Amino acid sequence: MKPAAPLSPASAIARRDLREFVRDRRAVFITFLLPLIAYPIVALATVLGLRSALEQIDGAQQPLELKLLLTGADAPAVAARLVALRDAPDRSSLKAADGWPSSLGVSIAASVEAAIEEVRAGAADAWVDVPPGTARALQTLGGVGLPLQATSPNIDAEAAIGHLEAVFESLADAIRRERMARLQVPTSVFEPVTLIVAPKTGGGTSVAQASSVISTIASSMLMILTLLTVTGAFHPAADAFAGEKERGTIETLLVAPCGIGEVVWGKFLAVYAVTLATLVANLVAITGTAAVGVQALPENLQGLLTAAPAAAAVLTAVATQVVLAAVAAAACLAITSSLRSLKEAHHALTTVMLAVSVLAAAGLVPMPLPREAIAAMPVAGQVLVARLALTGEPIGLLLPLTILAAVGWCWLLLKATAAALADEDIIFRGPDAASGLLQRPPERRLPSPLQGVLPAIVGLAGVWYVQSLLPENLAIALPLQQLFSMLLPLAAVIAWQRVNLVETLRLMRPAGRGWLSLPGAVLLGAGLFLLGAMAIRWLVSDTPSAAADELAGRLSGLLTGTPWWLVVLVLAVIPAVCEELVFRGWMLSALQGQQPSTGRQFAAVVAQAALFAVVHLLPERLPTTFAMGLVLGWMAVHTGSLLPGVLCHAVHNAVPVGVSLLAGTSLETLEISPAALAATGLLARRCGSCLGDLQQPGSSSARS
Amino acid sequence: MVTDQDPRAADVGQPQGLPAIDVVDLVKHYQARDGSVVRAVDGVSFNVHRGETVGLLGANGAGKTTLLRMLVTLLKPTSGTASVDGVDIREDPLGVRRRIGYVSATTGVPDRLTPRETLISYGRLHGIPTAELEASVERLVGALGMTSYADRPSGRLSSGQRQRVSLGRALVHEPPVLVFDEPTAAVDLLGSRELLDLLAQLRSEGRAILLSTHRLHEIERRCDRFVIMHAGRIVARGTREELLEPSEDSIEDAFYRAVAS
Repeated sequence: MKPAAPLSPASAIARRDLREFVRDRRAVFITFLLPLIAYPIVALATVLGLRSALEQIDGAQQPLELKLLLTGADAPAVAARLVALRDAPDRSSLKAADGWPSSLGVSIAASVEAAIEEVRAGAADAWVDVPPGTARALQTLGGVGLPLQATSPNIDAEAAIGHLEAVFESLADAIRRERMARLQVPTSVFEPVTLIVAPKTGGGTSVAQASSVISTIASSMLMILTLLTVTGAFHPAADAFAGEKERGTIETLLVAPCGIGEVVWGKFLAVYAVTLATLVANLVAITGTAAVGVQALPENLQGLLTAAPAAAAVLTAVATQVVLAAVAAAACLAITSSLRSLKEAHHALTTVMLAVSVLAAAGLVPMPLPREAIAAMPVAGQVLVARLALTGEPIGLLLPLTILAAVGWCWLLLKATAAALADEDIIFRGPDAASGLLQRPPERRLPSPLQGVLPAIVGLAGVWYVQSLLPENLAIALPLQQLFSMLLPLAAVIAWQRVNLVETLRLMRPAGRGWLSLPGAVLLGAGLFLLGAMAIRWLVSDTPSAAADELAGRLSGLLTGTPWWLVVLVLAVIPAVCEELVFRGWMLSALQGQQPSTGRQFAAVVAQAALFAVVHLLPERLPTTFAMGLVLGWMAVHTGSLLPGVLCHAVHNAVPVGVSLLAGTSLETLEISPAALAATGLLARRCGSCLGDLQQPGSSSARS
Repeated sequence: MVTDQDPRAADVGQPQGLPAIDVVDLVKHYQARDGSVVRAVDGVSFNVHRGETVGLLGANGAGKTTLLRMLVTLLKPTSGTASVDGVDIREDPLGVRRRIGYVSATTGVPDRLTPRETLISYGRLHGIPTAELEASVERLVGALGMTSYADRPSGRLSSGQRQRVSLGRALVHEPPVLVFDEPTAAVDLLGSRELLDLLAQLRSEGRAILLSTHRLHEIERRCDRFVIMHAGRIVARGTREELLEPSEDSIEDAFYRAVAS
């Protein structure tokens, strides 16, 4: 008999981790059994809420029974006309007849005091005071205003007023017709065209309203499914590395004869298996809950729900969730790979819930980005495709796109995990006193990675809060925004951290023949603006988001009413200095760490570029700002100086100002000549090669 | 140099000319967070032969753990090299891991696995075929006296029992070289005595053992030779007799003198 082949190291690690996981009863309960209990509770609350909401909608559509009270000497004349109108067999031919109450009672009060008392007691729903001379005005060709004095506190005042407006509009219409008949003017003189609408049949919730409610429920369920699926990765991911470090078993794993790649792959397989099992448990719970929950819904909604989505749509949605589970597993592993205890890992993973909620929401609500761009995002892409599939919208190539993008994200995240595992500093150097946010560390060369991203995160919150407080004048608002969102958070963290500022902020001359990088940076800045502008036009079409539109309008206003040097200072120089200090100075140095490997340098450049893009808060500029962040990060790493980046950034921001001032063209209508674009692009590429060669003096520029 | 072959095929019990552990001018520097360079291991050379136990002595921060971690390929040397059973730690770290067993005071065992499952899972990582692995684990469970608790979750075991599981884990692939970093630090006197008896037995089987510890009295008469480290350097080496001055009667005295000088 052929002996069983030994397991691959990755399978052996996955098998060991899964065995440990299933022995942890608390984790198994939270991961698998909680959804089975949670969904029926959520469904019960939803069904009860839904019934109540639908009853309110139906209730709002039902006309009221209205008791109208009139006062004044001419009240009998008006009352008589209203009663005649109410009892007329052809009332439906009058305007506003559809807004009438279900029944109309008209009575006359003897005095104002009596009317007040009747309305207060609820004997009448509304009180109208008929002014003297009304009867005469109505008999002749006069007009009169009838003041509504009060409505009863026992009635929906808004609905009652709506009914009264319909009643008195009908009365006016009837009087108008009488007058035209008296004057022998045909009705067609005043009503040359009339839209005839068939009367409504039946009542209750309209199909459109019910569909909207169903769509909301589907989106909510998709959000809950996504969050719970991601939660499935939490426990095994926290246990995978942080737990092993806490128990002291990580060393035994790392001295096994397998590469770090195999260790990471084995860990990923285990976490992914648990996440997938969580997804299955959730799907089973959703299906079971929905099957029972439908019976509890109002009948008119049951009809809509029984039209279940096509099998292909359900399969597509499930496929996206399977992919999403992989991204979640890889992300949770990457986040916890550098942490040292389960407690730290669970703290870090709570932030994942926030990030996943935001990303899932981006897939559920309309965004000012092409669907392809959202489909390529982690979580958001998979949720978007699932939603489109379930609502029957065409998805085209979005499914393969989101799967490919997710594979790419997983690869990146697992590479980051492997880099953390290969980092001796992370694995063996013990707790870093500076890694906490609230503890003042001893003097050191560079800030810790966590504190590296702190100013940008505080800045992001700062941008949000100060936006509404800033003055309209951009010449003042923009520097203030930079101050609150960049400089102050950076100054605060610098005061706390006591690091080597020259090294951290790269306040040095560019390395080697560094002066060559400066003209290169100028050309790169110009080229990047033009490429970015083209990319935005290609990605987002010609319709900017409301925020971008408003910003462009305000910037144009700034250009027309401010000296050019002030515009350049406010739009180009100040943002370039502040943002480079925060992102390519503080954050990039912190994320790189001391003596970084190529992989860590790459990850640091990508991470700071991503935050740089997010902080700009303009969705359509995300891809181009991200690309800009990558280029600036690469320049900072290769030249060792902040100066080329500041120059490149300032020129990038100044190009539209310069072109606009020189050509007298506003920003919105700025067109880009393909020839100018090509020339600048080529120059930028040549400069990029020069910059690269600075680091390798022996290499030839002919490479480019 | 010995090529990367299956170590379990080697003649464990036969003394050979080449040392089982050969450390040559090994250096490990790293940069502290204040930017200063820490010379954790600074040009260390020594060797350990098969059938020999060498005690690695040193105060906290002397560089013992860093040295041992370089030997088991958890850390990369800054310069210099070392070979384990003829395999260079820089050129073939996976080959070294196949030939070495490593236990330290901080190495734990998975709480929710039984000792038997732990040994099997690590055996799988070494690619040992299932039938052979099961036989090997049975043998280890008996030899290490774990029969009574082999199927109990490790989380319920005493520290001495857990250290035996850890030793079993390091032996599951039958390595010719064993490296121990403070193996008795977390166990009581009885457990420590039993563990050291087991090490003596392993040495008699022809394995090379490098043992680092603070408890000098425990290993004084169990090691063939000693290497004393201080501030990343070797400050003394030799047998017990070679290290002791006439006025001294324990290795502890020799250690204090070497470190103080």
